[in-house]
Amino acid sequence: MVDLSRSQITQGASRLGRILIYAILGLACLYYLVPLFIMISTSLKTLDDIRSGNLLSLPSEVTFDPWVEAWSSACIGVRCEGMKVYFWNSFRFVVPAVLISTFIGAFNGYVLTMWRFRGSDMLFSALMIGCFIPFQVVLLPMATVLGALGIFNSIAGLIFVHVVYGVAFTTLFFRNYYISIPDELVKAAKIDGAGFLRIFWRIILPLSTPIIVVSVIWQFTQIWNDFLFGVVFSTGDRQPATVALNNLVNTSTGVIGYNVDMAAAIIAALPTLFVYIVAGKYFVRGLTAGSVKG
Amino acid sequence: MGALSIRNVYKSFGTTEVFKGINIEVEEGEFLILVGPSGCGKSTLLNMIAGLDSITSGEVYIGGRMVNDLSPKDRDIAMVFQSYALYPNMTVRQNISFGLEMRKVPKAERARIVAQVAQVLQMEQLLDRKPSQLSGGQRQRVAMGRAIARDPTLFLFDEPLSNLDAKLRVEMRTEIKLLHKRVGKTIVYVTHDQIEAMTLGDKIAVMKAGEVMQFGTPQQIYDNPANLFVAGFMGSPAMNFIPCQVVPLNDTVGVKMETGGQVHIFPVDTANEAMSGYLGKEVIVGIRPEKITHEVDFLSGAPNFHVAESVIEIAEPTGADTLLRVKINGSNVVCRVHPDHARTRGERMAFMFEMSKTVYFDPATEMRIG
Amino acid sequence: MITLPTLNVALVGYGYAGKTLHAPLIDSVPGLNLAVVCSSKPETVAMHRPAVQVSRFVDEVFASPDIDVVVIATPNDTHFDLCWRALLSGKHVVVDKPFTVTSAHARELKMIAERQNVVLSVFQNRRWDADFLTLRAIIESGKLGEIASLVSRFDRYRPEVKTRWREQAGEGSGLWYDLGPHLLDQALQLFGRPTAIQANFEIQRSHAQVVDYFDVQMLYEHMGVTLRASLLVTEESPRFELKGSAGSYIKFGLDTQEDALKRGESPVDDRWGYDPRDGVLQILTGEGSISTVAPTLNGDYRQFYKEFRDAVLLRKANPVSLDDAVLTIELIELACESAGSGCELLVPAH
Repeated sequence: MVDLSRSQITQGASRLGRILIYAILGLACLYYLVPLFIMISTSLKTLDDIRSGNLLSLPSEVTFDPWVEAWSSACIGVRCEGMKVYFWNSFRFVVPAVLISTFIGAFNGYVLTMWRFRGSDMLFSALMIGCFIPFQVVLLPMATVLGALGIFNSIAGLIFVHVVYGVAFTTLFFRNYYISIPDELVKAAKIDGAGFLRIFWRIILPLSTPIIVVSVIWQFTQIWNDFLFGVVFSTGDRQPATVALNNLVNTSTGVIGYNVDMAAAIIAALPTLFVYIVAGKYFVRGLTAGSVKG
Repeated sequence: MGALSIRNVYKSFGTTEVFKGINIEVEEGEFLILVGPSGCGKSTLLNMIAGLDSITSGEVYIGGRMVNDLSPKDRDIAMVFQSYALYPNMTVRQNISFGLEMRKVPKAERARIVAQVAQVLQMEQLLDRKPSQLSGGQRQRVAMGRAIARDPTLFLFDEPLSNLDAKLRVEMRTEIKLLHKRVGKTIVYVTHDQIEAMTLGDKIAVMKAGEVMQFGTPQQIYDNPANLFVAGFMGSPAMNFIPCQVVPLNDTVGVKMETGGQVHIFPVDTANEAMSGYLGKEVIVGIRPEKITHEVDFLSGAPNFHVAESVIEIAEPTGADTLLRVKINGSNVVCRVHPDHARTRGERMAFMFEMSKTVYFDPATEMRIG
Repeated sequence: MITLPTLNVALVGYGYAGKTLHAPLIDSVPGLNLAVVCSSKPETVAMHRPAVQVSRFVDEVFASPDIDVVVIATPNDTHFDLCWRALLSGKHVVVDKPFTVTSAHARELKMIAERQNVVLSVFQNRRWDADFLTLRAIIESGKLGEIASLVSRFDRYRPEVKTRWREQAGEGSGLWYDLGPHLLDQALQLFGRPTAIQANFEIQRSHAQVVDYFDVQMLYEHMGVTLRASLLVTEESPRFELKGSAGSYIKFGLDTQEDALKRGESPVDDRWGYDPRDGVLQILTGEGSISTVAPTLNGDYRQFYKEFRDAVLLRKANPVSLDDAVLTIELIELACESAGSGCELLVPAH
């Protein structure tokens, strides 16, 4: 009999283990990538191709027509101008909302950590509860407020809604970041003669780059991907891309244009995908960054 | 009126009284040290002088002006912090001139001051670096430069050397002392290190639990501590405290010390009249380790020098001397002996006690007697 | 500076007390030197302490000018005689308890000591027991208010009757002369002279010849003290039970110093006299009572010898005053009388 040494046995065992791990990881990858593959390949096929082939097959001939159609001529509801209107709608409110909520969050974080006043901790806790309130709860009161302000069904309305909802999160980010800034820095600035706003502008903000990046990425993803607020607080051609996509898929007169639907979906997802690919690593870095050392 | 005057300052946090009536006067150009254990309130007092913390009652005068209601930037002070507190996003040059900028000093003037300060502190080559590119000692110098640039009436230092390693600390201590001589400004310096206090200060305020235990020059505090706490806090190794009975000795009184199997009565300085009131009672005798050494022949018989034998319990060589621990009246007593004359553990040895600087404390009140 | 002269001590009697208690304590106190031991068994002494001089002849030792102090640790009935001779030789004397067998002897020795102007003391070492020091501190602190009663017990389980001089019938024998002086002296230190005393003595063990059980009540105006000792108690009983108007204190466990000395431990250690058993203090509050642990202070028998030395060299107070010593013997006698007659007897006021 072959006498296997101990190390040989353990080596064999670990090799087996490794194969097993890779197999599981491979399976998980497939689970996520296959739908993406299907989406892309379907969006590049002609309708005939889709009918005749199967889900997983590559396009027999690549065509970009579905993309063009999705962008500029697909019918969404009663208008047939494609996704482009709604795509720009989204941008029109997402960018301001992100910037405003980030700025307010920074300001709140600054006040809560460096200018403590009586009840500041209570205020912070109250703000935190906001993070946990589900969208749905807010709908009715928000609708009333928007109506009272006269900005229901407008870009301004959507900006308002997202800023209000997002401030809870951005405040949390900035407050947790600023707390690690030693308060001797603020003391030194006070002695140097800097006031409340000057300290914020000249000293605190310049230190905040990592967390600003975090806040922007988070808010962009949240707001762009939002469906509920979009569908409730806007109608017709004020709607964001997510809502438009839903309408597009549900608008089918006769034949279902799978390829166009797929293309439209990918268009709607592109910005967040882009942000993630470009800035994703900064997100983690920013969350774990300390601000000042020494 | 001197550079800094603290009169009857009280502070309470809610119902807890943190400071009970602090009174300190500092002359112009003096180096005042606030020293004490953690939690004694020295940093809070510094913050109150700076205007970063409020005062519940009492007055603070800086350069003759009452500053109670003035904000920190109007008090004509500059502060150096334990963690340097340099602005991380600015260069050294910008750090130093930030305060000047806030006070709207014209650009040319700012540049001149920065150059001058850099020269004084020998930092010219560091001016364009950021704090993260500096070493600990360099950062500290920048922090001092920032303070000097403001040319204030009063400098406040909050444990500036605590973050440095031992060797660097000694170097920076000398630098600060030289700086004080050169710049000649009034400095209030907070530390928990009593060696720093002794070497740097012109005047020392020893604090405990929000009270000034004693205020005086380093030598006064070392030789004539007002109470048990000050005596035990200043000086390293710490002063020995021996509980002794006061017994009659010839015409005066002495203290009874049992050690090495014998009973000795050490005379109390006749000038200390208050001790005769303690006849028959127990007092705490304070004698510093450097006052108990090996027997020196030509000194025995000299006034204030007394010899007694004792058994060595522990021997600790420190290089320059050897610390020998013995038992007197059941208490541990440390003796500082020259290494050449030190015996080892378990051996008997003759020790010479120099009693001229011995102090006595009332065990109940902990105050010095006489 | 003055170095006080070392006192040379002659120890008479190297039995249990001399060997276990006195000799080590004398060694451990600075300023005292054990110079001579007088014993009927010099070989035992030579075996334990080869460096010490031994003598059989007491009078020679008493007459020697080198001896300053004589410690008498012999059987009770020899105390008076030896003490008398030592005092007349001009020596300072420590007598182990009981001081003497009769109060007449006690008073006579007191008179001689005063006339000779020397210090005469009785080794009431249990005044420095850990539990007694703690008890005293608690009473003085007033935490228990007005003291109503104290029960002081010394119970052990020794069913076998040994052949020791203590167990043989004779003057000054029996448990009352053995333990009585301690318990009585402690009670007198705390509360002073009682107004009346009632005693119950018994011979409980079958082969015993002398008293091996006593129960003595010391009656005061507003409180009472019970002293009890028995040799037939199997479960543990508390050493002290103190009751006052504001609470109570109870302590189990005996002082550890005698056992430590028996084991050969030296009293120079930092932890000498440490009693690991703490007592329990119960203080009455508005709605019930709070029970806390009362940490036991350290006992220290060396204090007796330190104070005795200071009394000799510095004219300080005698650690055990002769008035106390005489009163103790008087009450011991009175208790015997009470036990014999079965009556409560009044204690004379002076």
